[in-house]
Amino acid sequence: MAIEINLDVVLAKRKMKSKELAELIGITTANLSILKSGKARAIRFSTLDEICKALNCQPGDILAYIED
Amino acid sequence: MRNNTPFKVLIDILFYCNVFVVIGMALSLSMGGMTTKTGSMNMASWNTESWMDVVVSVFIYFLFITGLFYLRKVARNILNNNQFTSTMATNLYRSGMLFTLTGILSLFLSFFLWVSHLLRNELKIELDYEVMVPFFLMIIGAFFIIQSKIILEAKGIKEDNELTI
Repeated sequence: MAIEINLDVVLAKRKMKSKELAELIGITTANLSILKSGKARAIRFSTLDEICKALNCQPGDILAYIED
Repeated sequence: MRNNTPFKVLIDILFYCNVFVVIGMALSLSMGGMTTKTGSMNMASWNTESWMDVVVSVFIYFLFITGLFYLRKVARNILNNNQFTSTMATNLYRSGMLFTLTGILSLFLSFFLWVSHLLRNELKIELDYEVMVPFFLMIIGAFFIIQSKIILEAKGIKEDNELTI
C-alpha cells in the first residue's frame, strides 16, 4: 500500500513501548501490532486522535504517503 | 443459530440415504442379486435410447450426491461458526454448480425422452411433479452460486472491519 505507518519511529523517539501506548490509548497490543506492521486496512479518527494525544505528535508523523 | 442443527441433520439423512442406495446397488450387482433380467427389466432387449437414459440418469445421480457432499461441508462450516470463509464460499459454489448441472441435465434428459416418444408417435403431454424438480434444482443451484458470491463479499467486509483499528 502507498500509505506507510511510522509508528515505530515515533515510539522510538518518545522512548515508549508498544504495550504502554496500547494501554494509554485503550486498544489491545495485538491491534497495535497490526497497525504497526501495516496490515491494518483502516484507522479510526478516534484511534488516531488517541495516538496523537499520547505521543504528542501530528497524524503526518505517523502516516506517510509513499508513491508506488 | 437454532435451525443449524436440523439443517445439517436433514442433509446428512439425505446424503447417507443416497450413499446407501449406491452401495446397496453395487453390492447387489456384484453378488448377483440383480441380473440383466430382473422382473420386467430385460436389459438384453434395451435399445440405445434406454441405455442412454440409464447412463445419463446414473451420471445425474452421482452429480447430485456430489452436490450433497459439498452441501454437507457447508452445513459443517455453519455449525462450526465458520460462515465467512473462502472454504465455505467454494463449497457452496461447487454445490450450486452441481445442483444446477443436475437440473439442466435432468431437463435435457426429460426433453430428449419426450422427443424420442414423439418420433415414435407416442406423444405424451403431461404436467406432473417430475417436471418441477429439475427447475427447482436449477433455482437452488443458482441461489447457492449467488450466495457464495455474497459470502465472499461478506468475508471482505468482515476482514475490513476486523482490520480497522
